[in-house]
Amino acid sequence: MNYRFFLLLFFLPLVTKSQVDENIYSQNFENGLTCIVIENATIPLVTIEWVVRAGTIYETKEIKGYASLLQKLFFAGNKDYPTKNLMSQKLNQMGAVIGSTQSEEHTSVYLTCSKRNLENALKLFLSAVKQPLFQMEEVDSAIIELLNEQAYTQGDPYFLFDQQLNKNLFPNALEKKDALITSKIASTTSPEKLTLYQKLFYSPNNSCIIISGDVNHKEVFRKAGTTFYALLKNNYLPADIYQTVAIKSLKYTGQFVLETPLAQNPLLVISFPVPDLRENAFTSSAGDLLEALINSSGSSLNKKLVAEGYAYQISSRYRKLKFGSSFDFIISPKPEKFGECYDLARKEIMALANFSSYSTEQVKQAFQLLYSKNAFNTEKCALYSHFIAANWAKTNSIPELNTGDFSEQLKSLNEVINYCQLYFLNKPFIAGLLISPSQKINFNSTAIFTTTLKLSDYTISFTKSDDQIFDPINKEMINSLAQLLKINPDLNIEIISNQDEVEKKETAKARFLAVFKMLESYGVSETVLDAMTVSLYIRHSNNEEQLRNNMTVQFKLIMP
Amino acid sequence: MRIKNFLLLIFSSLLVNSGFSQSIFKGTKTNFNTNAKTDFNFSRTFVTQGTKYISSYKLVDITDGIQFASITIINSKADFKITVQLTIQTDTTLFEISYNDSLGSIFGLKGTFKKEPVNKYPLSVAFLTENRTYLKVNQIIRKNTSSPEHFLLDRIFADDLLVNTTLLEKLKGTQPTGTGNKILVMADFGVPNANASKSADQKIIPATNNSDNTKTAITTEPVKPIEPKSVANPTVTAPIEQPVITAPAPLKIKFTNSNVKDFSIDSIRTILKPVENEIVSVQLFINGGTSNYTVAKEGIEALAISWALKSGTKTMTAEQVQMKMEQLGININYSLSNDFSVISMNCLRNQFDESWQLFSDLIARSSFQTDVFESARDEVISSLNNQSAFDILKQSALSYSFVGKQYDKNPNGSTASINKLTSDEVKKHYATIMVRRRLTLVVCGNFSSDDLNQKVKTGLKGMVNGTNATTAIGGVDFNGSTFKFVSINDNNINRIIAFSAAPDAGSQDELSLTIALTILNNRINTEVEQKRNLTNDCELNIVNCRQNFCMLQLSAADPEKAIQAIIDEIKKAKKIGFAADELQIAKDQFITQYYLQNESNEALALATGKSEINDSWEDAENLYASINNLLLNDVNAALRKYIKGFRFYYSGDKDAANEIIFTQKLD
Repeated sequence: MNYRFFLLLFFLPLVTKSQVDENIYSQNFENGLTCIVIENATIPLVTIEWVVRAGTIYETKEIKGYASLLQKLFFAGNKDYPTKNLMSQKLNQMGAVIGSTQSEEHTSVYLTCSKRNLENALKLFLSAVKQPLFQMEEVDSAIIELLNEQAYTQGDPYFLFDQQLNKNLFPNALEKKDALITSKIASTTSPEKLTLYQKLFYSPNNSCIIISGDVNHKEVFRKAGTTFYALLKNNYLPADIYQTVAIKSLKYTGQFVLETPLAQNPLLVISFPVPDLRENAFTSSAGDLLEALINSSGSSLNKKLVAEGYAYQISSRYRKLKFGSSFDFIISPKPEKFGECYDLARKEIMALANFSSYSTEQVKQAFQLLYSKNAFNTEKCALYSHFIAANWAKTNSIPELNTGDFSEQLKSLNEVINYCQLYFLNKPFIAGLLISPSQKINFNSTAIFTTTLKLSDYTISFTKSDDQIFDPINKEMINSLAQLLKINPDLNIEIISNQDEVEKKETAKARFLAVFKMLESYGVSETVLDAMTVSLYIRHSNNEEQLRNNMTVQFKLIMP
Repeated sequence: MRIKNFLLLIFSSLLVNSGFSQSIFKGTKTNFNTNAKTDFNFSRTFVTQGTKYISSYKLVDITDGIQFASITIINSKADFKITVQLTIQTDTTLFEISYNDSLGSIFGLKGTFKKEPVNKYPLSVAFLTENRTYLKVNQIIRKNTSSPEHFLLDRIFADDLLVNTTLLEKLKGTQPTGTGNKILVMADFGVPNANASKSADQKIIPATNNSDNTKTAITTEPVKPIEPKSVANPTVTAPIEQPVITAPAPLKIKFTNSNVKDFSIDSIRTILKPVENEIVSVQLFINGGTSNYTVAKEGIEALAISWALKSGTKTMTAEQVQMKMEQLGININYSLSNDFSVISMNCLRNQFDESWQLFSDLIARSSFQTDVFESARDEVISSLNNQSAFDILKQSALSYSFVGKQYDKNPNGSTASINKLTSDEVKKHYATIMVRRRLTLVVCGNFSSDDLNQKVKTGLKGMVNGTNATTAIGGVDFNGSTFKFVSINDNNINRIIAFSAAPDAGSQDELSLTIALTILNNRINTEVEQKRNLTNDCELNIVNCRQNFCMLQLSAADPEKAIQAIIDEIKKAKKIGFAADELQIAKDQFITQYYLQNESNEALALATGKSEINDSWEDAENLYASINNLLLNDVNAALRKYIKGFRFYYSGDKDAANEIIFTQKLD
């Protein structure tokens, strides 16, 4: 594979040292703190980055947004520099520049300064981690800043789209994927509460310090060891306390449409859940290579969809996470050919499980893309530090670039094909369409898809003794169900048609037939319809509500 | 073109202290072949860096103001090593310098003095008598591969080396021995009265026309430069092959521990900054800048380069070039300044060969497709729209301040000037500037010198030598303040730009003033911006160019109050000086900001090249140490010495700017 992973063994209680690359060294202190040093003497600066496993994935409803909040308050005052102003003055005196990085699984703060100030900077980090002061004035100001940032983010159609995609892909983990702090949580935030969570998230055994720049690793380990020795290990890790919800796999394919005037161009995303890094970190290299293969201009998807005029552009995105990973195919469809584009894209994605979908030139291009990505990630010290920070939080490992020779490339291609067979071929996915109302008119109305629901949410309601479908809501629901059936032709479902005992005989059967005919009229194939199990029920009701429930057609997934 | 064979004699005064001092002296150089004498000025800088004593001599021709040579003597107390570095700034690309070793073994035998090769071209020897160190530089100049010409280039006796008492103690009384060697006396150097040199008051000893001057040199025909055949009728698409002369790069005067390699590839000055990452940045500097054309032809260089890059090559059409660039993921861009133009490319190390091939083909063998000319013109004109209001005011200010000088021209040109340019004259201009003697190639990447050497040799094969760029700088008086109203206000914003004097690029004074201005900016930020809210975008910095100057830039609702507050801060700083803690903070701030901006390979290569164009690439390499070594006295002195007045240029509400406020004295 093009990456090699090196385990840092940071759970060992004793100090362990290792050299993980030519210029990268790591050491694990007794209190659990991991220290990684990147030696790079190109410029006489040093960047110190403190990364913690904190993010929405580790948060409950009560503390949603706390990772962001604690990050904002990191340089906002501590026992040595009680106010943000004093802290700013100190940073200014050191000529330091600060910043932060974040994902749903990690949070980091960093500081860049002249190498001369390394020790001062380490002390500053110690003060910030060990003795933060959460003065309400600073907390309030950080919350306002955070809410403003969130308001801005919510105006971003791609953010909204991703939110919707997560909701469909990981319905039981939606809360964990939603990073937004609410005003209710903000109003219950207190310095005591923040201190409690800060101690947990910023404990040495949940943290890693990355020191990069014109430094000597031995000297840095000595200085960092001396400085952070006093930090006490926590008995629990956030992951122990806020155990993330096990993300359930998709049972069947779903679709959604996000219609917003904010959308600039129509976007079709076909997203497959793939293994998380915590489950199988090694498959991630196959995912990386596949991403590069799709993004190279010679990819089969590109040839079929773009070159043949069904789409403007196609790319892929591998969301490589510890919790809730997905592989997304991102397509800019041509509105007038949307239906063909969608069908062809699905077909070509399935074909990715075959060798014939890849050319030698494409593999070469993909490796070059990976090389290029790594080259740019490692050019600047601070960027390299951020790259390692995110990797540490997700995998405990440091990726190393290895472009590989041709035989290695072929081996890697085998792994990619295996990956596609395991996770794409006939596997359920979520297809999302981002569109603005004004763009909708350009689409072929019969081709554009609709949002599908969970099977159990499809309920066709009738009025008393009625066995025909007139209600537009019902028609829309059956249309949606038809689409669900079309994209899940192998779905084994039971159609349950009910009638109340007060209704005339065979109403249930008539209702079933009405639904059946309408499904047929919406293009559901005979094979799919024939495969459905039909159950007709005559039910008793004691009240109006029960009566209404008895006048429905419902659907149920029959587990194989 | 003349080769400057000269005899120079420097007597330095006893400026020996632990700090820094600089004086300007006058000397005489003699053209060795004609015995013609011309005056020159030389300045001497003496600094200590740890256990090193460094004397630098800068020799400037009085007639044209151009620096023609530099000498640096580095005396290392720590390892008893004396390094002499000599740089001849002019005409070096025409000849080869080699070392005449006849005196070299004198101290080599003792093992206490080591001749230090400088960039593989050792050229000097040093020797000591009882209490004085003499330096003599003997050179053989070769014209192409014909017979060598010897001449005595330089003689120095440098009292400042006396400061290395430890070294002298060790050597004192030792008589260098060896076949053919002798202790030289002043007379050997044509100095009639050696004792005169002991006088600290005597700062100039005119060079004599003593026949001794010539006795060590074998005079032959004057060295004639090889004139490029294609200059009169330059063609780019089919350059006439020139005999390529392998010449060493000019030797550098500054000491550095950096890993930068500085060499010449077929007369193209090349600087390689090795870095251990997978990105390669190539920056091709074309010397001359706005001195390469007249005011009427402003924009011609931009259009010439744009046209060359937008066209195809001999083997590829413009479309194929674009496709290849997309495939390689590279962009080839250019930018312009008053001192130089630069064409740049960033690529991946493992695709460097292909990328460089494309780059060099476009640079040296562009097809100058006629159908692309108009779109290149449109592109250059449309880039003029990207100029901010401050850019426009700055350009006006430059044209007023530097009227008749190199900086009064706008390298971007104007719509009118660009529209008048014809394809023939643009192509001709390109042929004039894209020549070996005007190029400095800076590469930042994971290379060895040999790797790069071969690639550049092949890639730029066939490029002509051409002529050097001639620059006309100097002569702007910044001693008193002036005020000029330039235009009415735009959107009710009053904008001010002002220029003041600055030290030469690369000098110690430049660093001192840089830090002084960093502190001053901090004070202005606190006192004028934050406390009084009189402006929010004030910046006072050294512009950092060949003819250095400082620039103050701000916008203000009440320009009089803002300027008064800023002037008050300047006056206060000049009168009282800065505090020690302010100095340290400013050093750290400057270092962080500077290096964060110059972290990428591209930025590093640009900084290195710019530093070289202004003075010497070692300035950029030594910056960290030099900044850290600055003393408070130097910083205070620099502010007092250079910020004596501003040339103010104002765009805004005419009634809101009282000239008297602007033109008040700064002391």
